[in-house]
Amino acid sequence: MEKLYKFLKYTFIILWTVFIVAPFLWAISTSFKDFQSVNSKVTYIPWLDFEPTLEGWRVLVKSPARGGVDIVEPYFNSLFVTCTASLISIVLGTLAAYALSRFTFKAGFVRNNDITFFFISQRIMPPIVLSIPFFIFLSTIGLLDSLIGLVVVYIVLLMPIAVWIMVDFFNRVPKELDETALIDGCNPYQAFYKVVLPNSIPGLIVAGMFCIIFGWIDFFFAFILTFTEVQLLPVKVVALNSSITPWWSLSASALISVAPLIIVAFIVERYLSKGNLSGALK
Amino acid sequence: MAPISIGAIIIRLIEASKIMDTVFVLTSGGPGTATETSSFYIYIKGLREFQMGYAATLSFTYLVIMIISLTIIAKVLTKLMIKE
Repeated sequence: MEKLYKFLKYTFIILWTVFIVAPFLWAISTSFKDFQSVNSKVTYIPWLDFEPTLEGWRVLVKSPARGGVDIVEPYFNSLFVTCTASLISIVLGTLAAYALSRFTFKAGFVRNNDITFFFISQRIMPPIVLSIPFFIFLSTIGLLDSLIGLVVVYIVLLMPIAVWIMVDFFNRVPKELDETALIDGCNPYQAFYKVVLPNSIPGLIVAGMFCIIFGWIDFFFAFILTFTEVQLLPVKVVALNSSITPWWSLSASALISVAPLIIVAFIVERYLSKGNLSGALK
Repeated sequence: MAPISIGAIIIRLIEASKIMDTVFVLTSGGPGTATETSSFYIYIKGLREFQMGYAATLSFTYLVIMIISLTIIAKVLTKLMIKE
């Protein structure tokens, strides 16, 4: 009976892994084919069914006039918007989280936990609710198709994540660390900047990773608020669709838009384990 | 183990009830209206047919329903899973 249970568990896990990894493998093998073997017959294994070439990747940098997909400019637009919005939202969110975790607020019946829940509830709300007000707001200001308007909207989208993660993290940093610093003669700003912040670098890195990921893959706001002058990466990849789906350029574009996230995940992976704060209070 | 899975379930519920871009890209509403979720319906009414007042009302109602139901779900799951 034990063996049957174990066999079923392993079978299920292997099937689920194949289900998830198979599209990636398909995309990798399609992007290395030449143009004829994508649509003609079923070919999977390189060097056996088809010759791998780099033509599919060269198509990405050619302009549309010469039959290519120009993905360089959306790439840099996406990088700029994501990095700027993540940076500003982490700075503001960390300060807000420190205040919410260390000081007590009281306004009528509203306490600390209510204010934290107010921040978190901005993520519960479906982005549809905000899309029409933001459209009208940005078009009144005149920032409708620009990078700065997108940065403002992304800060609204990403700051709750930073506050959520950092409040949880600052609640775990012991308060005695703060009080030791205050006894040693710091004012509260120095206590935050010199003592608590270096001890919460893992939390900052996790919050940064989440902000970058959610900023990079956001399709909805980029789709509604930009038309022609500024195009972000998800919008550009979706706009490749027409009546005939271009599997060839689509797979190469999809892979190159996922690649930065994989690099970020590899770098951040070792900070994701807890338990490296227990020796801080010596 | 149980409290962490409550957090994971609630977060995934929240994210799953908001999806609009996956539906838009994959099926665009599906054959007819078969895969239209609420978010997608609000998007169609608001930004394709430009009935802004109707779409704003719909989104506000959706927000209220979401907040009430997720609070109830969170409380029920917490009471069910943490028995101490």
